[in-house]
Amino acid sequence: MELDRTIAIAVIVCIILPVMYFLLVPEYRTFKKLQNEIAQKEAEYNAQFSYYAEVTQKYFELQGRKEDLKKIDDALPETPNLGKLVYYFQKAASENGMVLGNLSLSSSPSGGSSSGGIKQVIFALHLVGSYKSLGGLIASLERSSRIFEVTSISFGGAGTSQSSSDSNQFRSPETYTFTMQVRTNSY
Amino acid sequence: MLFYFVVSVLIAAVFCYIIFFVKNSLQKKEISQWTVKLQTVGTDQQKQYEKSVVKYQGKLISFANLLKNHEFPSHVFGFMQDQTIPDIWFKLFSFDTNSTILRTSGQASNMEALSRQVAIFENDKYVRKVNVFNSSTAKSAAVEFNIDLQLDSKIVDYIHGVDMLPLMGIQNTVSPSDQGILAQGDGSTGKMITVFDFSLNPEVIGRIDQENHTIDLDVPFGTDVSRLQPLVAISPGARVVPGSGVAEDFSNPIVYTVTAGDGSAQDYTVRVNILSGESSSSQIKPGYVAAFLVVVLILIVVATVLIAFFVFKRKITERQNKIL
Repeated sequence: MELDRTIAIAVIVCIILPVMYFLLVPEYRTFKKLQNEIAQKEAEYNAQFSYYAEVTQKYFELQGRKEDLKKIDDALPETPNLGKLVYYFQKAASENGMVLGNLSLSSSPSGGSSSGGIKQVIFALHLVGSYKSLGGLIASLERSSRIFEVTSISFGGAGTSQSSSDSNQFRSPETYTFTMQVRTNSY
Repeated sequence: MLFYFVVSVLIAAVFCYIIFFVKNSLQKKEISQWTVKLQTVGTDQQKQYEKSVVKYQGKLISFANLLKNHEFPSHVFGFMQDQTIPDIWFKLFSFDTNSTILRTSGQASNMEALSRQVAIFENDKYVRKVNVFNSSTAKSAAVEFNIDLQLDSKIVDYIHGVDMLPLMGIQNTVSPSDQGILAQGDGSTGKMITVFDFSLNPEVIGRIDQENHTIDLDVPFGTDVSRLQPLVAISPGARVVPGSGVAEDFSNPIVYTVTAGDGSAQDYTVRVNILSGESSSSQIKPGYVAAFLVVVLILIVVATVLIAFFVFKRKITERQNKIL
């Protein structure tokens, strides 16, 4: 009887060890892993919930500043509006006493470089007028609700100016030709 | 004795396995529920809001970048008009707005004129560095030159003369910086509560019903609702009474009144529900519950086995006594 019990104890211990090693411990590990997963999901859900609450708040804040947003939309329109631009350049040049002789698109929106969702369009304006008018035109472009950036200006042939080289180039009232590169953007 | 102990350990091990197995199945279900919840978090309307907000965020960043040194060319042009001496004739200005560099090329009537012009640039407070490249003398003694001017960022404050390029601000455009939105009495009509929550741990976010104008919050069991300070966000230009961050007693429903800039008002009824103790206890970490259950079960099993052992032993003793 005693011998039988000793054998039984040994057998049971032999059963307990694999049960613990192959069943209980892996199941416990799974349990812990799933617990962590639940905590992660819960945190993720709470974060998403807070995010959408904040987004909703920001949306209504933006809605309250429609006029400001309109100005930004005007500065960075969805499309380049090339037709309007050509008209604008023509108008701005004449308002500042210059003649827009020629206008060419140096870089199209599709071919132009873009950064951060911005598409750039570069125009080359061939203008005739005085230096004073040119300064006024540059100022007009900068004051415009649409963002323009003058990237380069080449000044007309030096031939006529050199005849009056004793005077300041920029104070000369004479008429010259200019080529101005202007960059504008759409979003 | 040892035999029964070993048997009880085996039974306990099997019990534990079964408990963990069941618990894991429940946890897997909970995970799938969280996954579904995660997929459905945010209404379609909120997702539309998100698109709009993200779009304007990108636009604002781009806009702010474009505005940096936006006035560079006109101020530089004015500066060059003032600083150019008579014997110098520029042919080209090329503006590098980001690095405030002006690249020029032109012609000087002679080398002396060029050196005087360079000296003027070098002594000017708006010029940080002057680089002269490729000055070459032609047959007529005229000098072709290329000059790069590294200008100070303060050049955008330079004012040319008094009438040519006056202060060319862009005051009519919006500043990209985030300005306060709580301007009051501006005629705006918005009078919504957009966010209502308590900064508890964990944070309690109110469920806002914009149709019935009610806000419901569930706070954990044991929370003192007599002095809660809600965080309230409202439509821009509106006012709310009681104010955001003001402690209130939420034992009973409270009415929050939002007044729009145009004077119209909207009441929101805020109800705070205290979760029951059972519900609150569900916030205890599942791991502790499981460990507690396991310990209790082991104790029960061991106790049962010991009782059975002593009962069995007593019966055997009684039987042996009878035989004797």
